[in-house]
Amino acid sequence: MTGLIGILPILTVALGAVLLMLAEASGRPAVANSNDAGSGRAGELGLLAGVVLLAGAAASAAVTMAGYQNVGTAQLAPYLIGDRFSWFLSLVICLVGALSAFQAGAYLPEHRIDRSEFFPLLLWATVGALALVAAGDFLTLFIALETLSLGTYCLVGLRRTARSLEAAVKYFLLGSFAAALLLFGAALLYGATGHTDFAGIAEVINHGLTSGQAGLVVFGTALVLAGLMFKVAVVPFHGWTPDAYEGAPTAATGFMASVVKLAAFGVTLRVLSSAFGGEGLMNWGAGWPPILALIAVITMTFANLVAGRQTSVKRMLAYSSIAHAGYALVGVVGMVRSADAQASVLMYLTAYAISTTGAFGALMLAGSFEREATSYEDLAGLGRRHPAIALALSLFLLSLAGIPATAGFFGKLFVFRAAMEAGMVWLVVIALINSLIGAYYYLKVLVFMYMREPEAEAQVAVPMNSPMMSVALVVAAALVLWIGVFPATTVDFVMASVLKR
Amino acid sequence: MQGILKVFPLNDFALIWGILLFPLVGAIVNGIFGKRLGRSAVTLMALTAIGVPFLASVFSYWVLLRAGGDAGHGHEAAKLYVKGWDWMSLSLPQDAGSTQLEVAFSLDGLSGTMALIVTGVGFLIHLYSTAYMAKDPGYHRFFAYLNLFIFSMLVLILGDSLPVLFVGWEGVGLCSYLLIGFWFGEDKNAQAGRKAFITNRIGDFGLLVAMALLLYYGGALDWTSMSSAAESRFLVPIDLSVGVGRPIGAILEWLGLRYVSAASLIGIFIFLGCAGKSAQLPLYVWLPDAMAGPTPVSALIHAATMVTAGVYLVCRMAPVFVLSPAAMFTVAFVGALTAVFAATIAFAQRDIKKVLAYSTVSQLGFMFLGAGVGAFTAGFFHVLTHAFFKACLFLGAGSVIHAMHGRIHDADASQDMRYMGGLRKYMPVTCWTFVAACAAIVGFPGTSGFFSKDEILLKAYTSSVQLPEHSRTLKLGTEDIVLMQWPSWGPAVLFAMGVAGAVMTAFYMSRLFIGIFMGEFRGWTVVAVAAKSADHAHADDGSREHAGHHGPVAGLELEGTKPSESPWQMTLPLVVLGFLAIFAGLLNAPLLKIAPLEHVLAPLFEHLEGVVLRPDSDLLEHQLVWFGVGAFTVGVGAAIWVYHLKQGKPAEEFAARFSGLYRLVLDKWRVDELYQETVIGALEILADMAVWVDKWIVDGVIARVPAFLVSAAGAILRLFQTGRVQAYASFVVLGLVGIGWYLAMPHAELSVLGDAVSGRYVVSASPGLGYTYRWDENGDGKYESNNYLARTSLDLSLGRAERRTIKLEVANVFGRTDEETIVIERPREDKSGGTTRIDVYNDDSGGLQGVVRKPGTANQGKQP
Amino acid sequence: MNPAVKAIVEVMPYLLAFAVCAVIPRRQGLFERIALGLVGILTVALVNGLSSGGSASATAPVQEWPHLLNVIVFLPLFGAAALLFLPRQTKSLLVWFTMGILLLDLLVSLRLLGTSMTRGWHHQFIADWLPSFGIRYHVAVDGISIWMLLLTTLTTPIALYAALGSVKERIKDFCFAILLLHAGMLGAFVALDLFLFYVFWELMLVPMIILIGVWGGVERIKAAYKFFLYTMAGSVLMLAAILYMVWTHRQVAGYLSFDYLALSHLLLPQTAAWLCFAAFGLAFAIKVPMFPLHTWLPDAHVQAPTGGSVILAAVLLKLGVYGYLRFCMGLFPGVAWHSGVTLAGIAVIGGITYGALVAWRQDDIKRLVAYSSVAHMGFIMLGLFAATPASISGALLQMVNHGISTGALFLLVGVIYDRRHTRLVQEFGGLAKVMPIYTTIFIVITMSSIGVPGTNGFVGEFMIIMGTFVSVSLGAHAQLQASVAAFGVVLAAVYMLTMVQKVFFGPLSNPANQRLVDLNVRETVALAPLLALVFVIGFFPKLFLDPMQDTVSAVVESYREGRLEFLKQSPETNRAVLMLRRGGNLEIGYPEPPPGSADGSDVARAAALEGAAK
Repeated sequence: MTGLIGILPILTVALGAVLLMLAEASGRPAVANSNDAGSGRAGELGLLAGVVLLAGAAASAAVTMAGYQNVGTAQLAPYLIGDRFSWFLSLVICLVGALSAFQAGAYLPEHRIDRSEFFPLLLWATVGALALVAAGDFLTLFIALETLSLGTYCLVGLRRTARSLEAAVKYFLLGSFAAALLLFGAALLYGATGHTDFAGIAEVINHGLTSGQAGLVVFGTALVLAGLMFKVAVVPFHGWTPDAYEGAPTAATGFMASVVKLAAFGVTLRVLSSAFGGEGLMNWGAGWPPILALIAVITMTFANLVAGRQTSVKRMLAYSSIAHAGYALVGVVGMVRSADAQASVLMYLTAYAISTTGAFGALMLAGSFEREATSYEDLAGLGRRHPAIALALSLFLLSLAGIPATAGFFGKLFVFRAAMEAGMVWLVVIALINSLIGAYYYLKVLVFMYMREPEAEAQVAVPMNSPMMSVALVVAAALVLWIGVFPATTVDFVMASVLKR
Repeated sequence: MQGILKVFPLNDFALIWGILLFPLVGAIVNGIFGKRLGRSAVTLMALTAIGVPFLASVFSYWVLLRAGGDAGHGHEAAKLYVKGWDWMSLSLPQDAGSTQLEVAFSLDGLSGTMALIVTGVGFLIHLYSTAYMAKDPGYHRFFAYLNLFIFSMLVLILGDSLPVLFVGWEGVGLCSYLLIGFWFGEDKNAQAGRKAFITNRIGDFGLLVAMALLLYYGGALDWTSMSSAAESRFLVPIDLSVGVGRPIGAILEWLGLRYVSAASLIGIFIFLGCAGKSAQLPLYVWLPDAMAGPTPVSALIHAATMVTAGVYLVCRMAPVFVLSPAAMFTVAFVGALTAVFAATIAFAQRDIKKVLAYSTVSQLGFMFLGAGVGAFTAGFFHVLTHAFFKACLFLGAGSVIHAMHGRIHDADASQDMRYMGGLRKYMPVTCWTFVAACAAIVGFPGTSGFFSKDEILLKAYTSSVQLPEHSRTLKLGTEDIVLMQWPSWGPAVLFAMGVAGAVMTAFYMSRLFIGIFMGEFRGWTVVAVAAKSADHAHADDGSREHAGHHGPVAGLELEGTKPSESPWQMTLPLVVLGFLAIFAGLLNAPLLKIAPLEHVLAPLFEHLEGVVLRPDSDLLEHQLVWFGVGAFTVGVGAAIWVYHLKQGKPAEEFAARFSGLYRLVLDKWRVDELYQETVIGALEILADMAVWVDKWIVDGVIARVPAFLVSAAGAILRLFQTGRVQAYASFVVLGLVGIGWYLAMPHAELSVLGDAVSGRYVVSASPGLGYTYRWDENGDGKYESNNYLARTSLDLSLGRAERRTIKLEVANVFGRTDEETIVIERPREDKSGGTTRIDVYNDDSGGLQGVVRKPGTANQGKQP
Repeated sequence: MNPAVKAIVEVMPYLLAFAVCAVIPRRQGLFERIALGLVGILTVALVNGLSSGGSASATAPVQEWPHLLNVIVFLPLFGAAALLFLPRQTKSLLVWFTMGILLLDLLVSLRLLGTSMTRGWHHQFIADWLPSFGIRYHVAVDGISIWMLLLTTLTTPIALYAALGSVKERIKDFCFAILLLHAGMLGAFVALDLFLFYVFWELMLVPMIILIGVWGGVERIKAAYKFFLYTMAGSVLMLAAILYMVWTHRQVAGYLSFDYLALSHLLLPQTAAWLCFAAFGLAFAIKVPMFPLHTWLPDAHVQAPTGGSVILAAVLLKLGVYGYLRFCMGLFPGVAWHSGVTLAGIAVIGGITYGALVAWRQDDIKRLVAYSSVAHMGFIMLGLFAATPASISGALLQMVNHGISTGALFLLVGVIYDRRHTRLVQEFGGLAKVMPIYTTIFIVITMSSIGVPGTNGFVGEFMIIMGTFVSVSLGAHAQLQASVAAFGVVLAAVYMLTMVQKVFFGPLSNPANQRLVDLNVRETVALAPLLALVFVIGFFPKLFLDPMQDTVSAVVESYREGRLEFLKQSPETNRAVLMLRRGGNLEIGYPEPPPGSADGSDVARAAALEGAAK
């Protein structure tokens, strides 16, 4: 029984998901193929889902504080590993998940997408995410990944417009393709090492391989890397992201941009540092670091350059999420030589997730039924019409741009410092120049909100009115500022949560 | 006397504050509250503000003389000194500490006399102005400016150091700017003001550089330490080609200007300043235009006081100047040249103020000629006399204009000689004072001008500046630098030019006088009854409201009452100045063996060894007088013959015959146009180029191009986002292939960890999946073993400064190979202090490559 | 004498100043009179306070209050936060609240004058911020930053006050931005921790963009972008350099520290030093701005509202200079020394001469003034490059002067802009007839701007030129560069007086100008303090020079020492060194390393290896 405490967060959320399903099922079934007439209970279901996720967060926090270091390992290792790393990530995931749940609870009814199955899906996807960051074995990894993905596919396609469905289908096709790659890679590794658990694989790789095994491992590694890179959505595995993000209902987009990214990076970190963590694969000469460094550079540059050309804020944010994956990769590469690199990635992801959720939330809040705020023009003059919303959106965007006194800046600083300590000055410089390019399109939003007035007879976004959303945003904003101004606690917490090698 | 010295000790002579502050207070009060105080109050304030300083300076002068008498003529000149406060501190070259600049003032023979001139003449002109400007709307403004000018002028004179003098120097420039543009309603006045200011600024630039040089070589900027430092500090050679780049250096070499003595350089730059302020070639152009200001201003600032500041400064800097024959000859020659040049222009001018302006320029030339040949007393004496007669002339002209303006309301026409004539009988006082002043300026024997000019001519021939034998050649490194000496042809030429100038002066001044006062009145037909427009009888306030209805030529058809003499406020100054113009010569008349002024100035100048007189100078003194007299006779005689007896016919014929030349002279040799075309034009072109560059090159390259590149790149990359699943999938495949390929390739990577002290170096190769290695340790280019082994590191020990080339080849499981070569060098012994140095070479990924530890340093770093 | 008389004698000057100033205005404005009187009193108080402060330095040092700087910096921040909760309809409340905060800040900052500015840091305050990163909240002032602080606290209220003429809408946002900006500038001037400095440095950015972009002119958005991107471009590279230095310091000393004191003891390998210097230098050169990075300035100035321009010119540009002096010269003395000549050349040709020429050709008065700032900043930077005590203190003084004169000029331009909504020279002419007071003040400020003796401008330029002429670090070029700079004085007269003549003199041709009203109460009061300072500094510069001289000489010394250390390094072997100058005794506030932090540093590794070698 005590063994389960290690995965208490997962259990909590799963239980909550079951209950929520019951609650949802007990209600009047939603009329098929209708976007407007629904059970009308998305609001409170959103609230419930949020509460569940907060409970999950509380659970992770509790476990961390109680400090059951390796309780999980007794029965669950290596399948699910309950350690500071997974607990920290589950804490953040649950938090931002809760935020997006609240946001969805406000967003869906407003836009007559009153389909309450949204929330069970969201919860199950979150369960997948939590399992993913705890996974210590390729089998659990795959299962968790699919749980997460399936849930997300549905969320994307929930809104039955052509674009939404198209996005869902694209995401689904490519996602399964990537999953296949991942699975095949795992198979190769198993064939070479006879292990599916990361520790075992690492064991074999580090203690001498026959030339035959080495060949298999090389290709296995390549495939697994490709699969993971798809999930974290970096160039050239990013193709689906903009379309999916734009097509999905904004609430779902926020969820994808935050929770899914967190989970994907979590598992990537674990795989890279344990399975591929041996010096054979993790060194500056051969192995994955140079590859990821190159990918990071391409990703940042591509995403930032393209994002600058977007006319839709939503799509711009999609590209910005790609770019941020690039920055995070810089930290991942830093793991080669810097002890703090892993912590820096976690810090960065936390900052990014909160800020981006907030940004999407503010974007949702700025729009209402058939007056949704997606393009820059929609936001013109928002600073005058609705200063509070504009202020919030500005805060989150500045955090994404990495302006000091925000969480985003601190994340960047941490990551770059780690990369610097790994001796990759050039990578840092490229990343910084990229953040300059990035700053341009974030500033563009501010310019539209504060310095432009909407053209005559142009229909502008009219903000919805939702206390739930507002509360969510205030919380997010508070977190962004708190981490940005008093980072000490967070930093220590993060540093304690890294994977031991 | 002792009592006075108790109250005002010589070295803390507080009365100087009194001299300075009154004009300042006057300026402030009139400036801020003038409008509310009303004219009478403003008048009172203004006159007090200038009168009290006059009395104070008379008193101080007396004290000075007495003190000087008590002190006897020691080498040290008597001097009244007062220190205000510390101003700023300047660094000395080679980080040799710093020197303190004080706001301090002093009054000695030179500055005392100058102060007397300024306050005395100033007072008279203030008085004159009260009537002259009586009807001007800007009355209080005028007197605020005038008082401010007096204040600045006194600061200039009494300042005890060059920077303090500079404050006054630019202050008077500012005031003249404001006063020239006093009637700013007309563009040409404002234009003239600006021209004056900017031209002066060019001179001030010279002064700034001179100050820097003085600081650099002399290490101080106040008079006392400068003159004491002079000999030892300023006779050093300078290589101008240093730091200006080779080409310019070559040009200087070719011009023979590569090496100069510090004294010469300082002298030249100071003289640049003086040329600006005192309107010498080539910077004289502003002064004639400056006549746009009210006539009293022309009299006070642009004739009597401000423009002579340059001469004052040259005299003040005499100790430095006499160290450089080159600089002194430049001063003298430019002076003489200006004297002649300006005189030629004065021939043809019809505007009486213009004539006087050019004559001022020419007279200033005389002063510089005197100072330049080392006859500082003579030059300065001419300043004095010139102040009297030129002020008188200007005020007289003003009075004439005042009268003319009673009927002709056009500012230009009312100053045009062609409409005057015969005023003798209408305005007797003006006429006779004018006569006196004219007599002085043309050098009628016995008048002040005669004595001063004669002295200058004499010295121009007899006096010169020589360096002591031992310092004629200076050593710079190995080179011997021969400094320029006083040219042998110098005295003759300078003397000739001087005489020529004198003749011309006599001629055009007589022409002016005849044109104004003799012959028939040409302004308008005089009738007994008052003309309708009597209400116009006020000064030329430049307001154009009723100037239109009768232009210059129209003047002849006008009718009006006879021109009237001016009120007493205007005539009294004329009388006083006229009197002085005649008799002031007695202040310094060596011919008559009475020279109180020389007596006063002696302590300042007599000890300058640089100035050398011809042995036969005493002899020549009495012979050369006749040149002066002759110049006067010829000039005046010719003028009377041409303009009085022949009614100006010969002049017209001349103008007709050489019309080209005549035009040229009439257009002042077109110097302004020349400057416009060359200097200003070039500057304008340069500015336009700069603007263009700024817009298209600088902004373009730094701002627009990158912006364009970024957005273009974005636009292109965007095309990859087709939205088609196949495309995306193929990207994924591409990425996968890339990763696989990189992993399938071996990558040789070497890193070194070493220690320069022990010479032990560890070279290690980075691992990889299924890698095997073979090494070339000894750098012979051949691998030690043919087959690949698992050995991943080498342990070397190198000797001092030994280089070793290490080669590595890696093979991976797919049989592919890769190789890398590095060179290790152990640094040679380290000289910097007893520090143990451990070099820790990291790999190529940049960043830190070593540590130095001073014994205990790192620990200290941790426990402060 | 008996106390009564004594008291009277002491009070006399204040009363006199009050009386005189109060009598000045011709139109009957009681408020105006009182305000002007107060300005007079303040001026006397300033002169008194400064001179007495100078004397106090000889005697017992004043007890320093550690929290003074915290109050100065955070007052506006809290003010900004509080402002968010005020209703945006109550405009006057908002304005007066902000003004109150700023004035309070000014009063508090005046307390700095009491402390005698001896060598080293004053009012130092250190608190841990992020120990695991070696980031601390470390603020202090010395003889340099104190003047920047005072300039800031003086300028911002004036700017806000003057801006009210033109800014009529979105007052709340305006006040918020102003307060934020204020805090950012103050923080940047006192920060001694590079992270802290960077935070404040960036904190200024957004409010400034908002100021330009929201209340600016027609092209405001373009200007805002340009300003933002230029500044950002500089600061990201600076961040890279900071991180590099921090990391190097860790490797050498074994623990992380962003602290200025620690990093200033770090002697980087030569190439690295050059790169880092370039990165820092770029950031500051953009801010100054130095040719050829100056083109953002005219746009920003022309588009920004009056208040914005004033702050931009008076303070923001100074941050570049201050940064160069504090960080480039403090952290990389060697490189700074050796690049000094080239940079000085750029400052003279590209700044003083080129700036003046371009300024001469502008028809937009604001643009002209903007380019004149380029020229002035050229002077100031030249003073720093020359690095003699005189030139540096001259440059510092000139920073204040430029703040005063250019700030005032922008105020004055704003005045006619508010009246006529144009700034084109050809639109005006003969204004002296209709606006005499305005003209007088404008001419006085012009004279100060072109450095006529007796005004503040002269003292600065004079000291810079003289100091440059005798400079050692510029070597053989010093004299030439100083002379060319001196010629810049002529050009200054050319462009300023041309403009003055076209605008104020000549016939009053344009009918639109026939009935322009002269300065009103608000404008006069806003200008009065600047006007007073013009003459106070012009005649008694010592009051300002004395407090800074100790610091300046210290700066010059360490600059020279640092350059010698730099030369000791052999260029071919790349080493970073921790140099403890002045015999290893450390300044107060040198960061304490966390216990056991040396492990894993190269010091330790090297020690191990050394042991192995023996």
